[in-house]
Amino acid sequence: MSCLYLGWLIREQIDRAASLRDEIPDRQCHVALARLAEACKDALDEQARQLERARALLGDDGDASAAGALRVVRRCTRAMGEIEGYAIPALHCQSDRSVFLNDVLSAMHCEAGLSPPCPAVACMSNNYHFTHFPTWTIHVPLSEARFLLHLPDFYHELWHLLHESLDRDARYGPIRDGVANAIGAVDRHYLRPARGTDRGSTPAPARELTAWIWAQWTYQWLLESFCDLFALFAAGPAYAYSTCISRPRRTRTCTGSTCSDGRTILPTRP
Amino acid sequence: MSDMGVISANYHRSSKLLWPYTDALESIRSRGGRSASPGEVNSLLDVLVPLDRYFRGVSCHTLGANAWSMSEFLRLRYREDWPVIRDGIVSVTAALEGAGGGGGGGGADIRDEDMHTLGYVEDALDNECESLYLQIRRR
Repeated sequence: MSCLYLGWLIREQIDRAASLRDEIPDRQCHVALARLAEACKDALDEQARQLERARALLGDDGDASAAGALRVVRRCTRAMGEIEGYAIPALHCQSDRSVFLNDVLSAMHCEAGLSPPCPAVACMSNNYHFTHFPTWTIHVPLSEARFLLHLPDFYHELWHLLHESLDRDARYGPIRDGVANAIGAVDRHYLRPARGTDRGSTPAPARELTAWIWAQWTYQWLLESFCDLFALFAAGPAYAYSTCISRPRRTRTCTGSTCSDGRTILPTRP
Repeated sequence: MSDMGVISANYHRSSKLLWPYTDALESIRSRGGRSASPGEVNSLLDVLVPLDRYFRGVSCHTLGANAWSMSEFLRLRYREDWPVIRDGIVSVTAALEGAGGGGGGGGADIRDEDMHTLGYVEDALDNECESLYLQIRRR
């Protein structure tokens, strides 16, 4: 019975892929958005193929194939959710503003001579600038095209995309080595105490906290530092001002191990 | 980049590892779970090596899926069996590396208990992707 239901669930997701494909607008106002539209169509076709394969396998050997099929459904559903949530709305939000920003980003990308493909820009973010990697798009707020002093932040985003391609271009060997050294330095600092391999008597809570801090550095802030350095070298003080002044963010004040969420501290001087 | 971008980057990195890992494991299972080809060994090691290095407290100098987060998932889900699973991950990683993974080009024999361990890691990586995906969707 559960296999039957899973089969229909897969059928529904295949239909979802087809209906999302129909939602992609026919005309794009910039070559970067046209590339995004084509990439979305290819990705949706691939999800539909994967789901068809999972449906065909379903029922061959009962629970084992059901578990495999369920995993395929989960990953295809996630992939389609990314396209539905971030790529197709970007294609529906095309305007003169997005054409302008896509032109600016293409020029920056060309000037820097980067090997990964140039991403598309979408003016629909409620979270300042961020790169959405699965759809290779940079999301910026609606009115961002009017704020030229924010543009250096694009260099920050471009480094994220460059990092994804470090293994594919021999020119980036020294950068790859630099990133590996930095990861090694963070690991050397935190990993041994975090795992208790050099201090057997470290209390467990301290080890767990250190492990958490290690993960924050490795998976969150290490690459951000490289992005900031890249943008700083590319745009100079303009990037520093853009980061520190143009996007003040709320920070948390901490007392001991507890944070009070409500308090805001904004930068008060350059 | 905002927090959203950081989550998206981690999700992208984990997803890119999950697909080849799952495909390699499915392929091994379909052949009866006794051996892995060189390509499959490399797909498995891409996920296993950072976890193994994390458990042993040494650096692997690359960014894989979040070893801390996957380790926490396994520790909390399999409280009593967790030490056995952790040792199993270290042992299967050593076996796969010894068999010529990491560019050596050799295939590897897989034992039944290794298949269980690889399945636990698959669950942890899938959970990591799902949890990052939900964080993205919540915003």
